[in-house]
Amino acid sequence: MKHPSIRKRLILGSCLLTALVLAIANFSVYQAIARSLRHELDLQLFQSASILSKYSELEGGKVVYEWHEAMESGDGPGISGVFQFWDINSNTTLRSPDLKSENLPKFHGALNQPVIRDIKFADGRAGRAVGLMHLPFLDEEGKAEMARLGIDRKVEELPQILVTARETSSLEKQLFSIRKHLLLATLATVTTLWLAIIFISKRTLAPIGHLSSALLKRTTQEKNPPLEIPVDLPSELVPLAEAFNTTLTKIEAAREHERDFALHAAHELRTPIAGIHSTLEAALHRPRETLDLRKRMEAAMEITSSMRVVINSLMRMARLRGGLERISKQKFPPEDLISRIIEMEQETDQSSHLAEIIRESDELVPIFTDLGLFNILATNLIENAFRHSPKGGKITVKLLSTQERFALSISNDRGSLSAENSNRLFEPFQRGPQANADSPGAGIGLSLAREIATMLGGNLKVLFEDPNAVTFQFELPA
Amino acid sequence: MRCLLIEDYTPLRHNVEEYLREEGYAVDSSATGDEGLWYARNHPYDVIILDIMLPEIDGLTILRKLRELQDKTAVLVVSSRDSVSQRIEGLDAGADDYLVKPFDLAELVARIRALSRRSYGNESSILKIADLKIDCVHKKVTRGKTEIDLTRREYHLLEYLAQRAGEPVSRTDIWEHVYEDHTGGSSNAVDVYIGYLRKKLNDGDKPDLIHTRRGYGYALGPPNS
Repeated sequence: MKHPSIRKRLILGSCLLTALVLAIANFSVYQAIARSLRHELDLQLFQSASILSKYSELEGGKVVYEWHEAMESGDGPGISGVFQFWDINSNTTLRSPDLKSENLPKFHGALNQPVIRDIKFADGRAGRAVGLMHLPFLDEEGKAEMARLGIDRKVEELPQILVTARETSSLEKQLFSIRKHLLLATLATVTTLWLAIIFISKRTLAPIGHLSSALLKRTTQEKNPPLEIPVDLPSELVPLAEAFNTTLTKIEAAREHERDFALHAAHELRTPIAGIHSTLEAALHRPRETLDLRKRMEAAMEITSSMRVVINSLMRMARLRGGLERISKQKFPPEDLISRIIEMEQETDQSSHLAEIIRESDELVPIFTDLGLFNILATNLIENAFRHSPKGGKITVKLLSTQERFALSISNDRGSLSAENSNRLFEPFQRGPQANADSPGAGIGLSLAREIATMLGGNLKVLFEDPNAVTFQFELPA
Repeated sequence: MRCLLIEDYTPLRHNVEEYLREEGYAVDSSATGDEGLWYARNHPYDVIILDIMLPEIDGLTILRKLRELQDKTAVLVVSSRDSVSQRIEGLDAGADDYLVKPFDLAELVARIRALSRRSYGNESSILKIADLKIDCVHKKVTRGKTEIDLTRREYHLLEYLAQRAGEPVSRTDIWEHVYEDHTGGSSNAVDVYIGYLRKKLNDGDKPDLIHTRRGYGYALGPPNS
């Protein structure tokens, strides 16, 4: 699977977008400049046409082109570009010297309405021209002169067509140069942007590389400290790194639990094996009496019995956690079962504990759950109460079983237990601060009971409501 | 040799204690960390056998405290913690050796023997003083070509003096390391056992290897040393 690249996306997106924006902007600028230059050219052409139209004057009944006279006398007309006059009446034409014998396209609009258009010169060059139909100029002096000579001629009889043109190649060159510069500016901007993104992204993403290296250096064997977030990591990525660190911390905590479990499991299994091994080795160390050997074998047997309980509990917990234990529900009265468990505990109890059952509902409705698992749960809780209650201590078992819910509460003297360390009570191999390797049980009972409670769809919690007692309460919805 | 065993699991503690006694060691034992630490700080031991997971004070804390107090007694850690990192942790805390449970008692004794030998600067398990040869593994003593038959207590008295050969050893030290009593010792009992030992070692006419340091104790060494 190919993952998208931030750098490539940045480069492609930014460059394309910038190029597009610049192209539009440059196109607009170019259009404005071209329009302006063309407009200026047009104005100049209009101006030339206007001036030239004034240079054709009616004198003595004939049209006189003053600009021509001026040229002949050596002065130029002061008009840039080329132009050509047509006298419609006489069907004659007069060209500006630069035209030589070539004609300009002849066109015009209505009288005194200049028309502008693009043209092609005879040699193929592009140009722009204004065509104007106008009447020769006649001032008061001219009129007086014609009156004196007895000429009766009106300017309307002598319409003139004037076309003045300028080639546009220099303008096109200028526009081409502008286009080139704008294009180069666009290319330079996009290239600079591309390089800037590469540089910035490389610099900005470098801490991710450092972070990855630090992650890869983490081992599965050793305890790993939280990841050090590089100071140069972009602030946008810091929440991600922090979230990652939180996850790693959780994983580390889970691993710590796992290590703790393995450590305790090893201790709980290795220590009695060491006890059995040493008992047998000591027995064989020298010749011994039969009675002595029998005692030693009994001691080894006793250790194996304790180990069997631990191993059974561990196996049961492994099955529960691995989802291998199946629930088979049935209806049964809870009180009979609880009473039997208490009686069994009392049979082996050497600390004269007092145990009583209190009914918390008038009628104890039979419960519908897995009998075998419930038996293990209740036995563990009651056994735990007997085990951790001081000599002669009181154990109170409260039962509530209605159509709505079932609750089993077992209270005993809390001893050195406190609410502060209650969260660890349900962790495997936790046997309280005073316990040692000789203490009965392996500290799996409560952990196993909670696994069963959860599996049965119920809830097992510890309560420290009474200042002198600790209560374990199992609740099961009906 | 005197050992201190700190182990909270009673069956193991009893078996190790008994086995070590049968091997001729003087043994003190403790089931809790703080009692064990008290013993270690108040009595001289050749080797301390220390469990890690103990109630009250754990074994590693005891070890670190002893090393902080410049106590150089050889410590053999016995633990169910078997991973490499846990062994390293134990050795780094100041342990001289590390044995994982379950272990053979014979191996434990061999390691104790090696540790106590090293603590007295002896590299071999066979100690030689002049023509006297003591095989610490098989507990066999010969002088010249003659094997000497010693009682368990005589042997351990001789081995202790041999470990510290050439060095004057006080009666109190002998009492503390060879006999299971911290009462301060009986100089008479030590003198009596030294007398028995001398008699067996000298076999009538051989030069005396046990030299009396008047008002102090004894030293084992070549004749006229």
